[in-house]
Amino acid sequence: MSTLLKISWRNIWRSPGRSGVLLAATVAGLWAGVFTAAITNGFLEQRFERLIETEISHMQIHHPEYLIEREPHMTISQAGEIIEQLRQNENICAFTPRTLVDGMIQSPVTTSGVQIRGIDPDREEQTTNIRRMIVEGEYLDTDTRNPLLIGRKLAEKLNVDIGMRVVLTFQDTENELISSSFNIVGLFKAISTAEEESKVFTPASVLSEYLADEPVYHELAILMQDEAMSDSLAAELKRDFPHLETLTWEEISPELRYLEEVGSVSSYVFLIIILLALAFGILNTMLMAIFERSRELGMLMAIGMNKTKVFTMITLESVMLTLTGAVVGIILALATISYLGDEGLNLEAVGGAALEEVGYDTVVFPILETGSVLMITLLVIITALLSAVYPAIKALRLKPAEAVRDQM
Amino acid sequence: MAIITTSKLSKIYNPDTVPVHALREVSLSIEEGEFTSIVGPSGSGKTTLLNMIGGLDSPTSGYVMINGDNITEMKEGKLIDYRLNNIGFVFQAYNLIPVFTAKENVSFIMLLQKRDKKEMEARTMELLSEVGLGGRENARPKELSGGQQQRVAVARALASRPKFILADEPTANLDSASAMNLLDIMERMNKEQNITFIFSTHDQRVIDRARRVVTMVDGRIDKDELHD
Amino acid sequence: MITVLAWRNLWRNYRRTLITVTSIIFAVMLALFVGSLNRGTHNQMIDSMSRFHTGYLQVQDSLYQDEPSLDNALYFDENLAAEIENAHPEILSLLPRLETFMLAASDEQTRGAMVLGVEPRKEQQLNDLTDRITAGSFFEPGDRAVVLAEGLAGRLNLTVGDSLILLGQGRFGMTAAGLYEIQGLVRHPIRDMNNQMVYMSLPEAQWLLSAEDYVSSILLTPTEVRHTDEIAASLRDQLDEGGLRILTWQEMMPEVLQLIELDIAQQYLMVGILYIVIGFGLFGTVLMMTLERLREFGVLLSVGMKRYQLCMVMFAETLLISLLGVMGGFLIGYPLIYFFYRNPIPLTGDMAAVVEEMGMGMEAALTFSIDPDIFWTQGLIIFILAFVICLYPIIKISRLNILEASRK
Repeated sequence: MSTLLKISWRNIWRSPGRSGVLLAATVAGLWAGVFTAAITNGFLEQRFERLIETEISHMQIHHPEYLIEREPHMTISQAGEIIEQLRQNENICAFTPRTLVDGMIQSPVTTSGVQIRGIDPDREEQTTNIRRMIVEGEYLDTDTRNPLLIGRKLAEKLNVDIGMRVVLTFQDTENELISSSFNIVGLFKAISTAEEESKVFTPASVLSEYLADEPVYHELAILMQDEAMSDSLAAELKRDFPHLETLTWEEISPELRYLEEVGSVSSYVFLIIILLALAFGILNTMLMAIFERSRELGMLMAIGMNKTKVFTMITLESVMLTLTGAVVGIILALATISYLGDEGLNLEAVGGAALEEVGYDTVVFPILETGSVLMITLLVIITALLSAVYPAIKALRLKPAEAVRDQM
Repeated sequence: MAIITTSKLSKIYNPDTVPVHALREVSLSIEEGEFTSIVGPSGSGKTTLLNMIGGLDSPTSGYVMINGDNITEMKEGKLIDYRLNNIGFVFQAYNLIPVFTAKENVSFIMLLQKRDKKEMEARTMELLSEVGLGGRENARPKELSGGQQQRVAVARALASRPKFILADEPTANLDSASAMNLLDIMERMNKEQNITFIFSTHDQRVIDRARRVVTMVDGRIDKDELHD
Repeated sequence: MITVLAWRNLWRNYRRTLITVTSIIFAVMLALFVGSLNRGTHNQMIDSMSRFHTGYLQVQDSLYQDEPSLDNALYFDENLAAEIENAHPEILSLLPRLETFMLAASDEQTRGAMVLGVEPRKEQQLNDLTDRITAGSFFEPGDRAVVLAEGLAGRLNLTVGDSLILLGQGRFGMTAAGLYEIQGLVRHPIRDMNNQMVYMSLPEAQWLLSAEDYVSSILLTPTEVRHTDEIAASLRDQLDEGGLRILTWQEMMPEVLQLIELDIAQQYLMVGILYIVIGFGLFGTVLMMTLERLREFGVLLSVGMKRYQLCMVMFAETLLISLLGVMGGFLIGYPLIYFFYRNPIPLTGDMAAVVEEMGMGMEAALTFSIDPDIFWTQGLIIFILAFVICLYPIIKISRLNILEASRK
């Protein structure tokens, strides 16, 4: 075997130009493929984390009809009991209750529809990254009466700014219409334009007072220490509070789960396309190598090298050549990734600003897992093997006598 | 007992289109220790005959017996092993693996035979010095002259301890001095170690050194003479 | 003569030529497929967003974009309509709309609603409004009746025949309130819209909002979408002094445009990497064709062939390979893409949910485009690649030493 390795390796360098071109193609292809896969991976991972952090959390609890009907009286009963239970659970990183109501926001200029989110400023801050979203002004932990956070886009649309008043109109739990003025204390930028235009935040204690005589909550969002434990907690909560609806992030947003799955598949699809394109090059290179060396191969078979060895020699040649390029390509990709490690890749130049609008990050930090590197290496070897099969079969079909007779 | 026997060996190329009768019922017998030359003009069938004896080509009819084994009936895979262990080859050109050194070329065949490493090493050096290439064992083929390359080929052919060596026009690409030097080595091995050599040639100086000369014309044996 | 020589040379090693041609066919087909799918998806995105949301072109009062209130509505009469339509035969239809945000209430429930005064027959031309009715019927101009989007009707627990209360503010702060019979329900493909649309006839809306003869915007539909920019430019010249502003869909929905640009950048990256790999393959072949014929070149040069003629032969060979590849790619790619163009691939399950989640009103299907530029771009790229690769044999030939080459 080691002799075959040696002969194959040396054979590769008999035609340095030809092997060099194939190597360059492999290096370029693998570098680009692996890097793109890492970017896609990082992109989706960030998207996932961001959605979990800012919007969904790992789990939510509602009145069973709330998500469909969204009526103010569909509140979470036994809220105190649940909160007590959550507080004692060590697997929970943070949780926060919310008071939600749909309504209308009115400025001197115009009127728009909004979802009014009453939050517990301390708990919300621990559960979501709301404080980091504020671009101007203060968070809700102020002394201002009826404080309100609104999105940048909505502020533009309503032509209002910090310190100004807007009127919120909504129904209370008895379906009575309430109108009250709120003071804008801060502007936030959200995961997407739609979010910025459609959500406003005020303390739950303030909103709750308008809605009912006692504190009411429509939503409980829970962030786990470890995402893997959300299923067991969800089961526990479903058992203990069967009259409420407990949903994990996968149930709240099946699209997110789907994107997670599709994302990794799509980068493999791209890699396979690159490898297919490379296969043509390998096939051609190996075929040329066989034709050039037909006499030599004839001689080898004449003096007693059997078919298995000839076949092994040719496939080894293909695999070693391709793998050399692949290893260099992957190392280059890893180097690029670690170079970008702290800074990330800024996509602004290629229309990345739009990413922000739809809830993705503009700066992407590529992620490459050991598992996918191994998988990619395996794919490369398979490609090299498959594309060597035809040339190797061609070589085996050489008749020693004919190959040797060529010399005349 | 004869080491090689061919019986009514015929070979027709392109039987369906333009039939070429390369061999016509050739029956030949070669004893152990012979130093035999097969001669004849181009197209007389000498290369075809050597290929048949070497198991590189199969006859249209007739058969080849080596040491009592009918190699014509062997399957291809078995034949390759048979060649490896019983026949040494020296071709006109493209004898050596260009990416291997002289030493590696010689030991390669023993590697294929899965010989013991120590024995292999020792025998390689011994053979190379026998063919006068001691000290050049690490040279690659392209660093050697044509004559030196053919001597490595002879050393390699011997390395497998074959029953006999087939050499197809071994001196065709060599100048006179190199050709004579190669012949000297082959003759010495024949005499000292009783190794059987069968070679084709149309070089008169080589023919003169042979002890038996089989002359072929149009695929038939025309003359079969012993020289002493 | 040169072409004949080149052509025959190609078939001296037909396997190599065929493999190289196949690799180009593969790349061209893939690039066509991705390009066509992307273009189709983008067109569908633009199309549905324009049709169901903003229209392709809008005429507004110049203050409206900054402050979208009824106060900044624009005066619209037959004269303005005639002025626009007469000057631009390439405008298919002209749709005046009056829109504002109001509270919509049943006896129990109150919701924010987008009230749109429209001319149903004209809307039908743009976005099939009247076809999308699911219960009841559309109103006639001047009827005191409304049509509700299904989602909103569901949230208000109302159906055809019930009464709807609308409450809000008209032009210049006038109170606007009215009681309307629900004459029909309609399904809006954009989910957010489906939850808040109330349609009424334009004259009725103008009366309700104290905005007689005023509209928020005029939507213009061009006969061909690609004429949008031309029409906008000439309208700007024409209506410049009237305090009017012309907006194209790109300006109204910059995030859609950016999303498309990002998508295209991603496509260029992927196809670019693919072409680099394929380019190396083509280069490998040209390298072999050059190196193995150096001796022949020497002979040809010594018998009197000019160097430039030899270069032409090599160039012709490279070009022929590329041409075969491109033609092959088109020949296989076009019917495939045409088939999918006529029969979009329907999406199901999770994929369909993701499309719906995007909320752009797009059909859950993969649509393709057969725009000719998708094809000639690929052809152009391959030919540029061929030109660049051809530099190698040309340099090699121009430096070839005749004596050395023919002695080899």
